[in-house]
Amino acid sequence: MLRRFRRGVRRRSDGTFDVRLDERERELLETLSTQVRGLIEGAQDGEEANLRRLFPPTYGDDPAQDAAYQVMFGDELRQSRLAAIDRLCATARQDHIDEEEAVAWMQAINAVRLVLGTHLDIDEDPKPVSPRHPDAPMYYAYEYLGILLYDLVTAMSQQ
Amino acid sequence: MAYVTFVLQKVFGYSREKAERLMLDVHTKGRAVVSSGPREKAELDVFRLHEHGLWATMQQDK
Repeated sequence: MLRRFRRGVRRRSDGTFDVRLDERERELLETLSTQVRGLIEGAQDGEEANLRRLFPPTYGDDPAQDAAYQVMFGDELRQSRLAAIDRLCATARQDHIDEEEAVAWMQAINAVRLVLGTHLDIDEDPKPVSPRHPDAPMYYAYEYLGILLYDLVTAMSQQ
Repeated sequence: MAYVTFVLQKVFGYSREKAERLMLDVHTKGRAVVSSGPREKAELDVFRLHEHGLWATMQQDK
């Protein structure tokens, strides 16, 4: 059940963050992050399409320039994404995270959400779906991650 | 929306007002020029936005 009115992340006076998530929420973060990690590491067999928002073209109208850009930055972007996911997985059980870990959470949660949104073909805000919809769990996960991302951004924006 | 505003502030050091204005341009017009400069700088800016999951592209001034 989504808890829309609860803040999962709060900034402390020392600039670090308290994380108040229950067991299922932490497990969901670990599970989805690990799945996206697997996709990034071994994207084959037509699954690359779900990653297109993670690795978008930079020169959309010039394939040659885009290829050169990917040679220069493509692997670095891939490593950066994996590092953020690894950090989220390593700290998902903690009740307290620092600023760098919060940034990694933000990047990783957004990455997972982009993959889910691409798979579900969500462009803007998702429409309500029936609990009997075959993709309902994924829709709920997408919404939940949006709420958690908002919590993180709100906490990180506070001075 | 809050996420886009936050990332623009974090990556470029923009004020909240400027970041919100650019975010609204993206939301309503589908795009906004969030940074400009020499190619090397612009490519690095694109990379940093991609790191945060924002869909940035390069375009040469005409």
